[in-house]
Amino acid sequence: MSEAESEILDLFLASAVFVVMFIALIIVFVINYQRRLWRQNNKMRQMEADHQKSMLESAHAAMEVTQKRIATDLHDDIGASISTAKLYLKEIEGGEQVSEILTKTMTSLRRIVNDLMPPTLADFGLKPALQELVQQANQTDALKVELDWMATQKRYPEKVQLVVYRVAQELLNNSLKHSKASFIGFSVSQDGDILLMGFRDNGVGFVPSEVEMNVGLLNMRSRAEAVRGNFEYRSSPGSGFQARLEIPISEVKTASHGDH
Amino acid sequence: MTDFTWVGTVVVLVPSTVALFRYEHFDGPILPRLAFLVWWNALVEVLVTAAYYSGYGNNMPLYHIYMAVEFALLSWVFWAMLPEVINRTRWLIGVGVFWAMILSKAFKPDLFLEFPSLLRSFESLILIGLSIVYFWKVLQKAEEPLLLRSPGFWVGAAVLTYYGSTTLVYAYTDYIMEKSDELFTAVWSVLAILNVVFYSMLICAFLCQKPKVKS
Repeated sequence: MSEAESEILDLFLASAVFVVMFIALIIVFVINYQRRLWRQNNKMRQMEADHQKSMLESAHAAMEVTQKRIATDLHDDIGASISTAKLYLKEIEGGEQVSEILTKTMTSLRRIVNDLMPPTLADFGLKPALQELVQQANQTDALKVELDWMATQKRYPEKVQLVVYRVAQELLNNSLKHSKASFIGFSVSQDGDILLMGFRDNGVGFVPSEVEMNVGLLNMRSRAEAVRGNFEYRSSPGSGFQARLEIPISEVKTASHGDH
Repeated sequence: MTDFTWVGTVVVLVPSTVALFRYEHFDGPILPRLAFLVWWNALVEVLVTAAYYSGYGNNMPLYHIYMAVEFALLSWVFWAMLPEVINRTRWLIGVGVFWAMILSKAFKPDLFLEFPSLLRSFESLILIGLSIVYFWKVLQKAEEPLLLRSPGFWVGAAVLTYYGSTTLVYAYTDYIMEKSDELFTAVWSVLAILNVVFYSMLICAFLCQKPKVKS
């Protein structure tokens, strides 16, 4: 090969090597840039999820405060007025019938107040509140409701108690409304730092994919997520309904301290 | 044939074999189309080698057919990689124009016996352009966390590397062929090395597995 030909070959070789290196640099840049972009987007998504979670938590907290206020108003104002009215009616002739109506109204009022903010939960803790809930549902022979309490404590942080109680309330209401069950069972236990509540009924069951957007189920899940917990359920036609709620106690405590 | 050009010829058989064994595991339209491309290239290399040993001197007419089909198949692969840029109509127009350019040589049939430097460079520029568009699109979206597991990435990188580095060589191949056989063989050896790089990247594309979603 002549010198000129060698130079041409060198030129081609050099240009090929230069182009390959340049392209390799471009590719490395693309990979790095894209990874950075992905990390950034991931971070944004995480922040968005955290924000939504905190919004949800605030919404639940606001709801609880409102329910508590309504319950207190109902109990203190209307309850007191009805009791006073009943006293006056004793002195009026023929007032027994009205008094009876007022007694029934008072019973309904107590039930509404209890649903809104159970005083037992605040005063005595989760176990007595759930026992009361179960007892109220156990009014007929057609349905048996049981609570199997295996946890070591009776009381838990306020947020934990409230979430467990609200989820239990929702599960019981759903079951009473839709399942046609003859048996409903609750179990509460503690595994280390996790408080577990199990639920099962022997009702008609349902296809989960058909009720994915059910408000009650979504609400229970969002309540659990608001305290970094987990809510899962399973069901199929003819095999009842089973649900499981898990709440990390220390995380709720930490979050509560953080809130203050 | 030198050792280098031998390697450049035989190397296509490796991705062809990989594609054959992995064909049923391919996910999405990119890899099956790429498989047809490497099978076509392998077939041509076998025919060229057979022609060489049977004493058939000038294989340039076959090279024109090879180039026409290769362009159609590669742009078909890019159609799968860039569905928002290439659609059926655009692909048909592009391939039609390229084929028309090749067939226009029929007015002067002797041209089929020469290396199509101009057409090869034109093809390279289009494919480089498509690769750049692919990487531009990749830069704009952040949904693909594991880029190295994406077959499109390897195809884009292979095409950009190979055609980017060979365009200059192809542009002057007819000149080099006229100038000296020795120089032509030497330059073709450089192309053989780039062939190895190209097909190695395509093997990576064939071995890409869809990342498993953690439950």
